[in-house]
Formats: sequence, structure tokens, C-alpha cells
Amino acid sequence: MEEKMPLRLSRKLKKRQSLPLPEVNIVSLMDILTTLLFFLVIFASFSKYSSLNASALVFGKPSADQKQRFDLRIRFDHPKRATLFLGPFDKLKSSERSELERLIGREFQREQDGGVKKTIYGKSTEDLVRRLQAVLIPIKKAFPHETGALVLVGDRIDYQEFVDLLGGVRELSPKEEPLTLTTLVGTKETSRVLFPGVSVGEWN
Amino acid sequence: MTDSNVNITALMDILTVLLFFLIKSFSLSSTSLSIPDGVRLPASFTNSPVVDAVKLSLSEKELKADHQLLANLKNGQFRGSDLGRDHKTVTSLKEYLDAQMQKKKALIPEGAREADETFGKLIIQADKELSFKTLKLVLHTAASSGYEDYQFIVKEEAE
Repeated sequence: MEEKMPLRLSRKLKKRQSLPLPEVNIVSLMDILTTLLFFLVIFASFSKYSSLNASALVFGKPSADQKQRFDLRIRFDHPKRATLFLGPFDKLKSSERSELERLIGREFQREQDGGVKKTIYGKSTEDLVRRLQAVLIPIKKAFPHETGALVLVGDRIDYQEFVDLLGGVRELSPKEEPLTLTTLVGTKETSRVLFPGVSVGEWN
Repeated sequence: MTDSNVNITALMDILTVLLFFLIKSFSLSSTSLSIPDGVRLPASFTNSPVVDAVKLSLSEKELKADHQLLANLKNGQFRGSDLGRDHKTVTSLKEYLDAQMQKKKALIPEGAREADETFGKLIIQADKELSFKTLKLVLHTAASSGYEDYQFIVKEEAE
């Protein structure tokens, strides 16, 4: 004698049996992937070019304003020598000055205008840039809000050396540890940026 | 006859891997740069994007602006005949840049020029072994035509 299944169970079984097997239609996915692929293959740029930004040194009328301004100049007249000038800054707002003042007392010479100067030598341009950055870092820590610097370049410098110096004045390389700066309002920030607002002039 | 099923799993794998690779390598830039012959770019670690602007290329033999030859150089130096009376302005470059600046000023009203990110900008692709003595003539000429913001094109430094 055939056993009859309860009615509810048999209906459920029929429902399950009658449902179609799930199918994933990936035609549209393939279309999208292929289109994206063609687009990227045609338009992808594998060249790794970027830009080093600087502005021209523009002379205007001398300012009648007697206020002290941040004045950082770097003279680059030899591939292994650079001279850094820092204008008078006693009246400027600054944050961590102690390291800079110790450095100035130890290694800088006083100028007649009240500023200071230091000549930096390197075994190569790369070494020169490292030593220059060692001096720029305390200046940046003292004046974290300042971004301007003037680079004066001599005729003996070639373009690669110029680019190396310009890059070194603008920012620290990715291989180096970022700086921890204390802003004028007391907050701490980490950055590799030194003086990105570089102006370029010639030194004769 | 039996049904033949095409197994596209492997194809999907390859397409997906290629796609991820291309998305990672893809650089979206507002400007396309083709480096002219004879120009070996300097290397730098900097990573700023390039903004579209008038393109100058300077090799040891030629000065071009937007692929148009403006002056020939000898051993990386400008000839005296290419320079103006002040011996600092490259005459053909000055004419070209003045014309470009006129067009730009005609298109952009004075109030909007500061906001325009391409106004007064130049892209400079120069050979790494050129002396600054040559480059400064180009920069001086550009500044006298109102182009005061320079984008020196560099290639990524090898690690």
C-alpha cells in the first residue's frame, strides 16, 4: 500500500521541484568589463611624469610698509655649494624657535640688515640638498605657516641640479620622516612640505 | 549531438586581473604629455599633477612651443640673432607667448583670470643637461610676456 504523504509536505515538495535552477546572467557584466578594459588600454597613461612648480621673481615697487616680512633666500651658484639667507625675523610670529636660535648661534653669520647667513657645502648636489634641508627644517618648524622662498641660481648650474635643489626646498622626499609642526594656534600637524611657494631668480 | 558548454571562468579571471592592474596604473591627467625627441627629462621625487598650459620644450638643439619650432640652439645655447637687444629675450618665443596671452585675455575677463588655473602658466620640458644660463633666457622671456607660473616637467625618480 502506497503511503500517502501529508498534503502540505507534498505541495512544498512540488513547489521546490517546480522552481527553476538559479542562473546568473553575466553577459552584461562581461560587456562592462570589456568596455572598461578597452577604454583603459586606449587611454591609460603609463608614463610617470609630474610637475615641479615655481613662479617667476617679479619685481614691483618697493613697499612703503615697514613691517618685517619672512625673507628666505637660497643662492645656488655651484653644484656643491649653496648660501642661505634669512632676513630679520625677531618681530615675526613664530612657534618653535628654540632649535632655530640654537642653530643660528652655532652656525650662522650675522648680516648688516639684521638677518643671518650660512654657506652650505656638499660632496654632491644630492648631499648638498640633504644638508640644506637640515637647515630648512628648523626654519620651517619656527615658521610653519610660511611657504615662500626665493631660489637664486647661477649660470654654472645645470637643469637637473636646479630641479634637485628646487625639489629639496619645496618638500622632503618620501624616503624621509615627515616633520611634526606646531602651528601658531598650538595644534600639531605632520607634513613633508617645506616651502612650496618657491620663486626663481637668477644669480650672476 | 552533445551540448558544448564554453567555460569562461578563466577568461573572467584574466579580464578582472587586467582591469585591476590598469585601474591601479591609470593616471587621470587633464593634459597629455608627449616628450619631444632630444629632451631627456630630469628626475625628481615630486608628485604634483600637471595642469594644461602652453608647452615649451627645450633641447640642446631646438626650442619648441606647442610642437612648433621657434628657434635652433647650438650646443645648448641660443644664437645671438635669436635674442633681442637686451640679450635676455628670445624674440620668437616672446612673439609666440604674447600672441597666446592676447588670445587668453580675450577669452577670460579680467576678474576671472586669477581663478583660472591655466592663466599665466607654462609647462616646461627641458633637457636635464642644459645649463641654467640657457633656461633663464626662456624664463625671462616668459615672465616678460606675463607667464609667471612654471611647471617644470620631471620624471619619477627611480627607487
